[in-house]
Amino acid sequence: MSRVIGIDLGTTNSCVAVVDNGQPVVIPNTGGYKTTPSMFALADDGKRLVGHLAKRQAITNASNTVYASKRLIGRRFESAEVRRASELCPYAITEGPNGDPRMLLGEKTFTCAEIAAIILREMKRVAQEYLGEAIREAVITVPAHFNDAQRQSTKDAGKIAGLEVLRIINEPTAAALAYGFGRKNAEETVLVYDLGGGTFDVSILEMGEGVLEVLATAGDTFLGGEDFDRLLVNHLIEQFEASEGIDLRAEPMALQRLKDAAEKAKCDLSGATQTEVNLPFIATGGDGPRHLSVIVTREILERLAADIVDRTMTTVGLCLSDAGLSPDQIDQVILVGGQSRMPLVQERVAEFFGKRPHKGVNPDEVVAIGAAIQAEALLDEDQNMLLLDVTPLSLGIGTYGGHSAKLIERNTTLPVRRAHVFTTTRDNQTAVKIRVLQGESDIAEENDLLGEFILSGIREARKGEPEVEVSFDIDTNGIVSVSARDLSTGREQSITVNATGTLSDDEIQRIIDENDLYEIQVKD
Amino acid sequence: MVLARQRDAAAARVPRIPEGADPTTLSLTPAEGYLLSRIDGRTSWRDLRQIGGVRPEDVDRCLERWLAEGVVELAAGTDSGQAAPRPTAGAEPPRSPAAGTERAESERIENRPPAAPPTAPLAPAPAAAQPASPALDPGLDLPLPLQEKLIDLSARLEAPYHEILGVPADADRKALKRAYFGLSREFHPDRYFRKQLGPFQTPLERVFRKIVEAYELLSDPTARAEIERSLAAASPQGEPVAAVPDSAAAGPEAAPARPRAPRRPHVFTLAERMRKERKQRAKRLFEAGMAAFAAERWLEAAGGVRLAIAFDPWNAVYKEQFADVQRKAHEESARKLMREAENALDLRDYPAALRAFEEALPYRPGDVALLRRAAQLAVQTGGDLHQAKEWALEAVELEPNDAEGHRLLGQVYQAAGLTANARRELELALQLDPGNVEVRAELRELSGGSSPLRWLGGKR
Repeated sequence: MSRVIGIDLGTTNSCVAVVDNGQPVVIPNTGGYKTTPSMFALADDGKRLVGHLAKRQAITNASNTVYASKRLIGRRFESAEVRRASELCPYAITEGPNGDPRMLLGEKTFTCAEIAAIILREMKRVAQEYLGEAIREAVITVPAHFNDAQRQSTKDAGKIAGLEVLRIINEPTAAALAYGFGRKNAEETVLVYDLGGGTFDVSILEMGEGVLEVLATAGDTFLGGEDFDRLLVNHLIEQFEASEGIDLRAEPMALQRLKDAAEKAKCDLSGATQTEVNLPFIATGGDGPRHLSVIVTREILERLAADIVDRTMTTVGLCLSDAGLSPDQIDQVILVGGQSRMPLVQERVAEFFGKRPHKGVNPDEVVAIGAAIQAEALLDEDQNMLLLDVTPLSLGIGTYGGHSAKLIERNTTLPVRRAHVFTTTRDNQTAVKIRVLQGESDIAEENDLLGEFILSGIREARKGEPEVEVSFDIDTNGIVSVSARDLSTGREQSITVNATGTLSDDEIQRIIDENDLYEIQVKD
Repeated sequence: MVLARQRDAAAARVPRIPEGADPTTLSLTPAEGYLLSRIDGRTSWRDLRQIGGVRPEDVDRCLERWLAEGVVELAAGTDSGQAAPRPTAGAEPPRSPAAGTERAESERIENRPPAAPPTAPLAPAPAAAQPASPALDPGLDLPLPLQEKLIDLSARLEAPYHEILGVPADADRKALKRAYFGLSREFHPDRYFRKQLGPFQTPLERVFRKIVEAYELLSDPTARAEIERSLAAASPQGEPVAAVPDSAAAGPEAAPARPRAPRRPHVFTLAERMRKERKQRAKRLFEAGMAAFAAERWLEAAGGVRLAIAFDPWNAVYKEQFADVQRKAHEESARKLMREAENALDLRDYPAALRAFEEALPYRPGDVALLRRAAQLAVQTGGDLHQAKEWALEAVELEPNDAEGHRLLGQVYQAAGLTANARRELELALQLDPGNVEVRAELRELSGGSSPLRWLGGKR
């Protein structure tokens, strides 16, 4: 039987791991790096570049290089998040036929799932080269608060990349699995603080005897390390504008250099208290080339980032109250995601919980390791790890008056099935429209519309008489399916909820075929 | 399978209460009573020993004593659940009302908006019906002991929650968690990923969901208190917790009935949840009511707002609006009744007209004209004169200086034979309207027979 890999498909970096002889190992890429940038570029000559190669040329080819596309996956083009992203990205974002955002590189548009697939394919390649065998199956991680559309799109991406996705699991949960591996006898309550490149998650778990039960999870899909970089880039631009009178915002190439430099400076400042950003020839003034040279101190960075870090702590508090726990009831705090290396983050967390966070895991690799462990736990009977995960978002249907009736509350253990009876609002109404909503608001519009379908053929009757039973299923991947049944006629209709932003099967097949043109075969 | 049965042959015997035996004549301790209540002719001796709340040795002692006394007899050994019939709904132990979305069929009626009495008889639960227990099959990727356990648990899904988890009734949070984790390791579907479970697939899922439900509810102090109360009450059917006034009639809602699903215990307490749900329900009803109000469907509007107040009696906004809505609704009702009355008059159906007037009166307080019409009609058609007097009196009180009012009251008194009163009223009417010849004539008629000559004489 071929082995199953675990892939942490990150906003900025991705990582792949496998359980080898009972021990999880992170697989380095050909360059020897354990993580690979989640970047994709179309070079001038039409060549496709992924990972480090894409990152290296990003400066000179900024408008054809995609990064952080995970922030867009499963979202709608007109959503606030996509608008915000398109203001910040050097590449162009256009609207696809399903109302989904697509990236325009050269002449060709790419869906988010396609970009994710290209990165997954790269991770698969890395694993195949390392293990010397073909890989067909994977467990892929997503941020805990990803909604159904985002999970579906990630699953689609796996399919496009030629991987059967055994399971989609939540990143903080994966991290907890990695922490719990080898600590099967410990009975502990742990909190995972996962501040990644583009997303922030908190999960609280209880563990014992190899079972991990998620008590609560909370997060923010649009908060992460990228935001720290952006703040620092703005700071650098302002400094430069003040000293040289030149605005660098309109220069894609300069922006890309600034972004790289800011990211590097940010990382340096986790160790050093000050660093220098040197970008010679960043612009041309009336009298020749200009150079950017700015000293950035840790203090400046912390002042810039204080608000964001405070925001994460608010989310931590929310998650604790959902779990019904106080900070002193948390035995262990696990920091995950590269941005959690920031000293300010560690201080705030230590302050909040009154104890130092756990040091034993590598924040960049732990999620992929957890994914590999989950794959092993599913397939190996002797592997005694069991994950009891929850749904991060409430699920309901739209009802009369623009309301949302919740059928499954957030933080309900998966898998779950709930059924409820609804009725008509008009006399002789023969069809009902079922609008499936995900989110916490009582107002239908404020939630994500996962999809809608119409149950027709209801017998004519006075309003309030027909009985339509709507059942919701959320599987262990967090993916939703819905069915509706007219109790008097027995007529039934079911859908796997397909948000308008996701791809149809035909489209997925088309992309698979197309991508195969670019695939290299592993030589056995 | 045979081996397993032989091994546990003794313990697999199923105690039952023989027909005709009356256990109520025994004198039992509460614990013994509890144990007796668990004997249902399905649960094996072995399973009884594992029931929380009574120690296994006490179970043995009691059962042996009852066997000797003939209170209990042993049925032939059987794989529990396999041959035994399903208990009927009425005999099921009390279910926590906060529980259970799974077996929705019994709750469908309660759960739906109550406006509509179910017309179609509820089909006996196709989805949740318990299929016959699957037979043990060594060919499956599921060890035989687990298959047996699944069969057993599937048959006992309605047992009290602590029995599902296999813990004593007073188990603490830690013990609950241990049991839950242990059972999850046995029954979580992930443990059988891509395994051949054959007919055990569905029972496995159902059992796991029930385990989750049991754990979540018992971990929630409020829900647990409810469960313990209903267990203690031990009535065959527990009273639903959610005693929400469910008589909502006006709500034109696709309103989901309040979701009674068990949820994460930590998020809200049961009471908070119910409060929140009532408020939401009230809000929906109120908004539907106001929509009807805007569409000038006054009666529907008043119904909606009244129900909203019933669900959320502390909401000042609803009460404030209610006055307006109610006034409109009353006007509408009165209009309808007046139309009815006119129709009845056209058809000379005087009793019906009188009834309609009478019904319209509360909606038009202070309507002197209506009061007089009603009183007059009662007098003319031989209606209830006592009632007529009340109406005429009220009209006079409302307009004391109107001659017609006093005259009408006088006529009522006259019809009732109260001449002195009649005279007083007619005199008052005459004082107020001295030129009214009709009153003068009636007065004269009252004092001396009915001859028109009197009237002529009066003219002299």
